[in-house]
Amino acid sequence: MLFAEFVLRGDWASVLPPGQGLFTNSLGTSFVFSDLVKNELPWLSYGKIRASYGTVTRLIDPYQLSVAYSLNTQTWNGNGLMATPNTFPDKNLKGAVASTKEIGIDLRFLKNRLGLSVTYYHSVDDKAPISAQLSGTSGVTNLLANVGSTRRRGIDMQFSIKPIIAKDFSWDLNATFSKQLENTVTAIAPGVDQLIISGGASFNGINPPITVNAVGKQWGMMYGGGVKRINGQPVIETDPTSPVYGQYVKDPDLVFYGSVLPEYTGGVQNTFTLFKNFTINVNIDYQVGGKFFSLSDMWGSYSGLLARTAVLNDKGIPIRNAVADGGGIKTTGVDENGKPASFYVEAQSYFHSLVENNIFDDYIYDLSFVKLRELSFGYKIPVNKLNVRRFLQSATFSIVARNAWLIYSKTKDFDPAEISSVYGEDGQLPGSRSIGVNLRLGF
Amino acid sequence: MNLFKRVPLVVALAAGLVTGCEKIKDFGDTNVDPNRTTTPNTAALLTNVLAAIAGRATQQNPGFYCQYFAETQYPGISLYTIPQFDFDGIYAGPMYDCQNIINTCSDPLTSPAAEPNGSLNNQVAIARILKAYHYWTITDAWGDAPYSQALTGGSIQFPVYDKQEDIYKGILSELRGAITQFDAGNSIKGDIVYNGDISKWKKFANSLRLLISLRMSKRYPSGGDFAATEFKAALTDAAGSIETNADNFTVVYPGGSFRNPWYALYDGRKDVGESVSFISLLTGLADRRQLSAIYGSSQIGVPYGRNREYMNNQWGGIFSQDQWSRILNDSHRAENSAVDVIHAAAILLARAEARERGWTTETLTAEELYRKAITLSFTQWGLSEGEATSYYNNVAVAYTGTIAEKINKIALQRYIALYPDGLQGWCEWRRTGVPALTAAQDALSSSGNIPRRFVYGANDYSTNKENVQAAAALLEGGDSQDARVWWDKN
Repeated sequence: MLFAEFVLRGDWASVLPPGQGLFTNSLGTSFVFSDLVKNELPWLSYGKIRASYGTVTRLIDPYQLSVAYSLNTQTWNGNGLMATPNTFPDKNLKGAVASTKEIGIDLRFLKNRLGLSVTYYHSVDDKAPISAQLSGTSGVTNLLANVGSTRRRGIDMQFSIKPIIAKDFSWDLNATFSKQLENTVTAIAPGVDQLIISGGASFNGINPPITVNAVGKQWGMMYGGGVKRINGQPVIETDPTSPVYGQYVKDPDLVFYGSVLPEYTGGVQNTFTLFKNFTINVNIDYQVGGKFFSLSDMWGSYSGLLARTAVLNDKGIPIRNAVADGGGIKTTGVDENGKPASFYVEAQSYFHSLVENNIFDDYIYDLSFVKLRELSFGYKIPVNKLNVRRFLQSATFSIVARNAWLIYSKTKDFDPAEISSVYGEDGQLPGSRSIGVNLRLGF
Repeated sequence: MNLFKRVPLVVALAAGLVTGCEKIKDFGDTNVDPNRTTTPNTAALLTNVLAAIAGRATQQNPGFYCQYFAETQYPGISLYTIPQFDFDGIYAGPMYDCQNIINTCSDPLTSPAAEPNGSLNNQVAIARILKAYHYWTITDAWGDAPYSQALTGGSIQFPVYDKQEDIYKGILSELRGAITQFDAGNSIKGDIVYNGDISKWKKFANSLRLLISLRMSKRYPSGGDFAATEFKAALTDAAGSIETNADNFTVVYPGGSFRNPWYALYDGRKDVGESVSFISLLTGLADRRQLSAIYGSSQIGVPYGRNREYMNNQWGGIFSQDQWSRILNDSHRAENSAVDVIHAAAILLARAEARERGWTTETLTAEELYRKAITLSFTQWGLSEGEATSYYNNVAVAYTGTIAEKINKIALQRYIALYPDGLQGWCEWRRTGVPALTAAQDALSSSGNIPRRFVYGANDYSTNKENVQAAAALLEGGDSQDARVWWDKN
């Protein structure tokens, strides 16, 4: 009925400075209260309250304790080349310990037909070894040091239900939902209140958005060049002598676009069993919120590859037609004084000017998506009937499709589930869908 | 299990724990990367620096500003969009490699590992010279920059920005010190430019001193001032300076993994070409460096300073015929072509100007130095001395006129001789105003003027914000591309 577990652990790792041991502990307790109320609440098959506290180690990657050099694989007429690495370890670098507190409840009803689990967690990462950015003018661009503290709180929920249990058909449904309530950067390094953690490569004066951790703010905030706004309305240049006449004006400061972290994530897993031997799995993943920047979108618009550069304007005329012929893109907004203004601009100038002036509003999208992550059909081969019992205990054959279908996403041009960088997609290859077969044999 | 059976088990476990513990903590060399070394090879660091150094002399962007080059399909920099170029990569890359050579050779713990690569003094002297060259190219483009607090390997996290005047004085002092530091010890390994020839390194260092001093001419114009004094000292130094093309600081690319930067520019792209304004200047002088298709691959220039609409529509037909002039002809743009980073013609023209200004009183007259420089430039590019002589007979080239006119002719020949080093061409145009350049017709910047500096890059604004802002506050108009660097006095 009442359980408690206590663990004490010491880690001595070769990746840590010599002699340093990291001690972690955890205490978990749970109280299965359903044992007490078994007779009063027959519909409650299982109920448990649990609480735990634990610490885990944060280790360093191998070979990080000293500056080490490697020789370039190519030689220059027989001469070797060696470059000084751009990341140095801090001389006081050591491993760290992070702690988590959790409290939760597990409930199951109607003979395990219905289940619900809710967990609330609060974890603190203190002085974890991270790669902090420095000004490259010091000779190195990153220092691996014990800086970096974050605090995270959130809720995880799991819901399971068996809607149908019949002789030849049953359906098992499992849904998860996670919401992060807080993911705050509590400290970086002394004297540093902001750290760039991800960003696109600058190219010829075009600086893509960056993701920063700022003290006191949420983890992973995206900043980038953007449109100047007055009361939320984009400002348009009304000076006819300006080279960007009629186009959006750039905000002199970096614009805050939002956090790269999603607000909720979760999934739904369905298992259908037919005629005892056939299984169908339908697994769906979803995510809501968060932002990413699409470099492909930016260059695609600049070079006129994307559909958005060849649409019709509000007069029904292709935007690629000259403004003098009624074409052009319509810009709508306000002038420097806040009075409404609107112009028609040549399409190519418009798209070029946005990129050259580092105005990225149009290329930042939500990370929201709903995707059919896995679809599989399986058949449990009846080994008993095949007379191979002596050497084969079980055999299952299945056809599996992964990344089967992006059911919904806000951007049609790129799959938000396949983003490779923290700040977004930087001209990476698109995700792929795979279909395969699986034969699992048990001996 | 009864108690007696449990005890031996517990004792065995405890014994194992106690004896095994110390063993567990000693990991030996598990955390030592077998593929890397903790002491750098200074010869390999030197080769690394020299392998990339021609990049400083083959920059396109300042070449757009001084109108050597023009953009074909995607005009942007030529229209003065305000790009933000970063210098931290130069500091963290080749400059810290130089500093690392100096540190490794100076620290008694690590210097024994460096000794097989040459005398320690020689290695340090060369690293100081190369570091000075890099600082020079950085401060000439951006202005004030970290110097005294830079390259500490992370000990100083927020280096202050030193004034350009202090950087100039600092690098001149470094070059002076380096020349006297050379000793007669073993010559250095890994030198892919001068092959360990110390006398050529000394000439290179003195040549840099000449160019750097002359660049301060607007700040220290007269013969008794700091610039003239430095110039004279470098000129009369026993080690001498670069006087023939054989002493040029030239990087010869092996091809393959290390290719000539101009080759790489055209490898799959056609974004840049020789500008119409530069070609017409040279054609007007009947300059064989252009007419014999050396500076460019043809006589058809790329229009300068026009927007994308014009380049794609009006000029688009000429672009697709592909006969427009690329930077340098094909034979100078092969994978294994050489790049002259500092060459004799530029040094002799510097001496001619100093002679004409009355800074020096060397035996050769300004006119003799001027003619010699032109001949050196012609022969550097494979033309004959005879062709240089007939070029000299052109009225616009001949060394005649008032002192000011003669200095302008020197400046014009220098502008032509420095091609295709965009940075040096832009610096000299800023200093002398020669030739008269017209700003881009379709300029996108608010002032529309030819930029006079690079604005500070985005990286330092995020990692060293206070110091960048302090440096920007000292500029007229803030961190703008129209503000002038210290030597570019109005």
